[in-house]
Amino acid sequence: MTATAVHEPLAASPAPTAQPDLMIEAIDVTKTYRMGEVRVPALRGVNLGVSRGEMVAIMGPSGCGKTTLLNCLSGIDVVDSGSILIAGADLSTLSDNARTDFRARQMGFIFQFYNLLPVLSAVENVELPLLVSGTKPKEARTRALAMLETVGLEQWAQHRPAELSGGQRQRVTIARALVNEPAIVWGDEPTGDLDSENADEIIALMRTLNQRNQQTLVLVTHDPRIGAACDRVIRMIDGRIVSDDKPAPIAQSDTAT
Amino acid sequence: MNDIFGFSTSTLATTLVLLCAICLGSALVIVLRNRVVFKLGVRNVPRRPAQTILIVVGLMLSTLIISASFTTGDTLSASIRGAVLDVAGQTDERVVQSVSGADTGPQSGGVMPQQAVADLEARLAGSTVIDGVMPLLQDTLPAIDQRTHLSEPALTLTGLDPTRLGPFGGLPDQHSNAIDLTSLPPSGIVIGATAADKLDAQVGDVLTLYAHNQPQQFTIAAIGQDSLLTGYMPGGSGGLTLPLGRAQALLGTEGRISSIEVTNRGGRASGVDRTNAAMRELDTALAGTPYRAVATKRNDLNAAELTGNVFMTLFLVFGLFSIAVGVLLIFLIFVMLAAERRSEMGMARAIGMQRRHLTETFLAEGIAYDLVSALVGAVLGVGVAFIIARWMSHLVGQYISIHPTASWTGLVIAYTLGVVVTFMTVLVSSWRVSRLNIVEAIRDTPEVTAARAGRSWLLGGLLGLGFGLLLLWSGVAAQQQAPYLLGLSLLPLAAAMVLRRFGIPARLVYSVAAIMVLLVWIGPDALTDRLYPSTRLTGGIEMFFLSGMALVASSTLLIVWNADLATRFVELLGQTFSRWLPAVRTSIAYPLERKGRTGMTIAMFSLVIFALVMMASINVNALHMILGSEHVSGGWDVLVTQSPSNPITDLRQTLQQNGVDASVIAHTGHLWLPPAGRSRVRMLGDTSWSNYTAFGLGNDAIERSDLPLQTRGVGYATDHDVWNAVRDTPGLAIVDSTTIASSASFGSVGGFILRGVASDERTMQPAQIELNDPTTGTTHQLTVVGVLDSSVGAFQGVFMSQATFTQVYPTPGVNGFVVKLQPGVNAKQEADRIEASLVTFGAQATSFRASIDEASRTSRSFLQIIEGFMLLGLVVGIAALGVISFRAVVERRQQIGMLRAIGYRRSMIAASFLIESTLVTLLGVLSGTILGLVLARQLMASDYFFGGSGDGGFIVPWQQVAVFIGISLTAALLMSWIPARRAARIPIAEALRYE
Repeated sequence: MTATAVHEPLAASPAPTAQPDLMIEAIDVTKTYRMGEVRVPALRGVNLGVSRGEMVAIMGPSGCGKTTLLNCLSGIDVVDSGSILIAGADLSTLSDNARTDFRARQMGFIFQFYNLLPVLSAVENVELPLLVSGTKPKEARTRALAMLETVGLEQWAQHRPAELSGGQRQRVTIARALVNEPAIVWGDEPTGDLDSENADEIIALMRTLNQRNQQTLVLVTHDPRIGAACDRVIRMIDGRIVSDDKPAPIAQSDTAT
Repeated sequence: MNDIFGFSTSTLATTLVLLCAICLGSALVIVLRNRVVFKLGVRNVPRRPAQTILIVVGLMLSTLIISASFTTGDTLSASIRGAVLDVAGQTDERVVQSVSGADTGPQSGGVMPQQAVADLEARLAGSTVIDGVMPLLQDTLPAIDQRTHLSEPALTLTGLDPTRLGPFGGLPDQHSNAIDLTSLPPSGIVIGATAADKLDAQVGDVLTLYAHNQPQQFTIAAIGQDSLLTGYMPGGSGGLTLPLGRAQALLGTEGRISSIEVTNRGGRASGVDRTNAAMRELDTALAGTPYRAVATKRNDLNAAELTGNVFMTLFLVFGLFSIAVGVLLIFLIFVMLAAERRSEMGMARAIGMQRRHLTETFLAEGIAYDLVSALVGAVLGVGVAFIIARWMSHLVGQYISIHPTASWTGLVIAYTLGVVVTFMTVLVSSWRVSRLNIVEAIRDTPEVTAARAGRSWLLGGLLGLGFGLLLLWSGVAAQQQAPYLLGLSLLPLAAAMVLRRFGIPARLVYSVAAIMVLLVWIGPDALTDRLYPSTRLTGGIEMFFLSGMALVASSTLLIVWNADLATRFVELLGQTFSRWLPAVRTSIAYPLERKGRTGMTIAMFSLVIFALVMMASINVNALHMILGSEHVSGGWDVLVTQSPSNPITDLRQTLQQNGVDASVIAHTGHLWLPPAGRSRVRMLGDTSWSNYTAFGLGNDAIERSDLPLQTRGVGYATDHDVWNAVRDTPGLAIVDSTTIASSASFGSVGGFILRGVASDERTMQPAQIELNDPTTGTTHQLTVVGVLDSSVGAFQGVFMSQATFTQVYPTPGVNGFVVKLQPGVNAKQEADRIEASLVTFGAQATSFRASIDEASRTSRSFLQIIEGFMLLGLVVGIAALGVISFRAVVERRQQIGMLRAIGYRRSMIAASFLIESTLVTLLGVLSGTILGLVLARQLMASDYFFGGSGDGGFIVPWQQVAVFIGISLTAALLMSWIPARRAARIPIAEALRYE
């Protein structure tokens, strides 16, 4: 593990030290939401580095800026100041189309509420990122079916999301996130809408895929079991990173859902 | 307007006001019973101003269309009524010879002794109803203005008794000053405004009139207003006025008159109120005399009312398509409003609101929109009608002056009908949306579709079957097409509902049911003949609307349940351009999933395009069939007619004598017509007569004409044989194709019907008819041995040899010639040349082609008015597309965020929305186009319409179809452009947070 261990609030934390295999790098990132006259600072000078193949959990209370950080890191939101480098490339210098293409080829997303298209079948949902990034339709279908098999849903390929359980839907989301063999997978509360049994299965699945494919996973979560399964746990409070540790063992009470 | 679809407008207005009161009363009940529910509904109105405006616009369109239809009818009624009053002036009734068939204009010539006036006046002495009587003499004469050298072959010369003009309002000039006929110089004459205009004449000009071929010169002393007293009739050339004695001397009818004009007490318009009493007095006074009274003004005003009604009905029937589209839009709007508030409604139900309360909430909101939008629609409808009036003024302004007029009754009907239609639609849609699953609604998760329908479908299906059978039975019993075909259409749809209850797959049952309904309406004749009972069913213009509704409903059902098959083709295209495949896929998937709203939008476009395409197709084909055929004028180029008082016997020779190069004439044919209003026929044994023109044809006309027959008498091998028989055998005749009875799907032609002959029969048994001259009382029996082909559009009447004709009409009313010109000669120019050279004979020459072109132009212009009116329906469809597109952006906000996150570019999101709108519009437009063309083709080919005897194939009005499709698609793209742009610009992170 090569990440910087920080225990105190990092209001003016130094930039992460240069590392040869650094996949994600946030340097002094700030982000403030404006709601009419009210200004809500969501990120206050965040510095962060994640290495290739790491599985990192970002945890913290509601409103601490976890999701905002994830959005900024993944390029689906823009920062007010500071910079974000993905594999050395500064996202803020890219056009919207270039950022979009970058996401299509290099990133996968897992959302709490699955965000599957209800009008498409499971396999059609999974093959979307492939089609978007220019894969031929036949090849896209073959790879999507293979990915569904990987997540144990080959029998459900032609079913619509409404016909699947919550756990199955999240597996489809994971399949969609991984089908393009992205370098980075972002997850926003991937187990937030699941019961404990399904949550455990999903965590195990993500860890297995992470280890097998050496993909970088950044997961925003409240779930301590996810934290426990990760290589690192980054804790945030009020828009700042307050700790960046190896995960602690899970207390029995934490597993209760 | 007194009448609409057989209901009196006052009854309709009263009924609608009552229904409207019930609707408003129910709103009041909601207020009184549960103020919170009412507030909850009404407070939604200002929640989203842009959406509220869109809803008000959508709701007002139905009222606008109704209001515009009524006001157009009112405008035409009032305009024609005004024209009638202008022409008739103070004349309310007319006394004519008892045997005369003339019920409107006076007869020509001196047909009555002048003494009859004094006798009638003596018998009416002391009348408190009748204000005055006056002799009138009228006949047509050719005239030339010596200053301008312009001529008119047939001006109506009117002789008036100046001493009796007082009660008739005198003879006003153009500035409404009285013209004193008694002080007219011996050679002075009064000319009417229209005649003065045609001759470019002014006071002081010398006119040469030709009576009995003798020129006589008069000086114009004054220009009078156009009216009966100056010989004016709408569409005519106008006339001249002289004191009665001088007119009689000029025409050689001393002591004789054409008719006696009668005026009632009261004004120009109010005098007609006393017509009943006046007619009673006149009938008593005329008892035992050879004369009878005709309520001319009342008859003309009734005809004006009828014409107004016809136009109003026409606009309303075409407007019904747009109204139906408007109803669909209202339904769609409220279903989508409910979808938007689904979560709120779920919460409301969870905390104890009943379904009834949800319905009431929507009703309260609906009424708030309704009251405002109906008012706006009614007022704007008047504006639209006034625009139509302007348009019509360009079209028919030479015949009648169009004055935009709106009536309170029409406005009340439009407003209340708009309120009631919207209220009922909101009620149904509210009831539907109130039946939600509370948990699914709160979580806003998709509704789960059950594999088999609920019990309510079974019940609905059984009720539908029962109602369908009832309609079927009533259709057969009343011999009416509408209930019969509606019943026949309802049965498969109701059966499909029943089968759904038993778990039969929806696609299968709905597709089969939809195909069955389509076959009922546009199936092959062999099938429909078997389905129809042997008794002929009758139907009117409403069948146009009903066929459209049934066809569009069934085709939409077929499309929405099978669109995935059709859209695979689109996906194939997407695979060719694989970069766009994801956009194509999502754009197809959404409309396929939302079958209800997709179906409604498809149906909206389909209905409007169906009506437009069908109307354009029928118009183009009918015009082609009637006017575009090579047989339309029997192979002749010019028609020359003249008064027989100075007859031309040899046209070619007369032209040569008058300095015209007759070498351009290939050959001529001679024909004769009876005096106006003196030709009527009936089947032998019938009691009532029908007015029908008789033609006497000279041998040259028979031998040189190219007049094909659609039906020949048995025993004749060729059309030529039939015509030769008519030429050689006295008593034989041929009639035109409009006399053939048919159940005429969209209204029958009316007039004389030759029973026992069907339009698709090539041979017939000779039929006996009687030809009668009501003036002389002469009746002659004729044997009909053939029916003219419907492609002969220029001649309508009963055709016989000259010998047969003179049996009834020893003195014809019109002496005429048909002229065939050498190839390449311009018929219009030659007609003008013939008319100019024969003006002293009072000859009028018209080019058949010019008349046909004029008729085509008028028909096309009228079609454009209707099309413009129907485009309002397209506006509704486009508004619907806008509502759906805007709503889709809101509904799919989170999904758009996800798509953007996984790599959809902004352009792909925008393209996805645009493709979706285009696809839905295209499906609707194509469905409407295909249905319109198929039904129009079938109608044109069937014996129900034009006898199915067209000489060419079906013409598709490609240009117009392309314009309709182009307008629809362009408007759809423009309408969805803004929401598509908005969707593409949604910030991803914000969209993903959206719930």
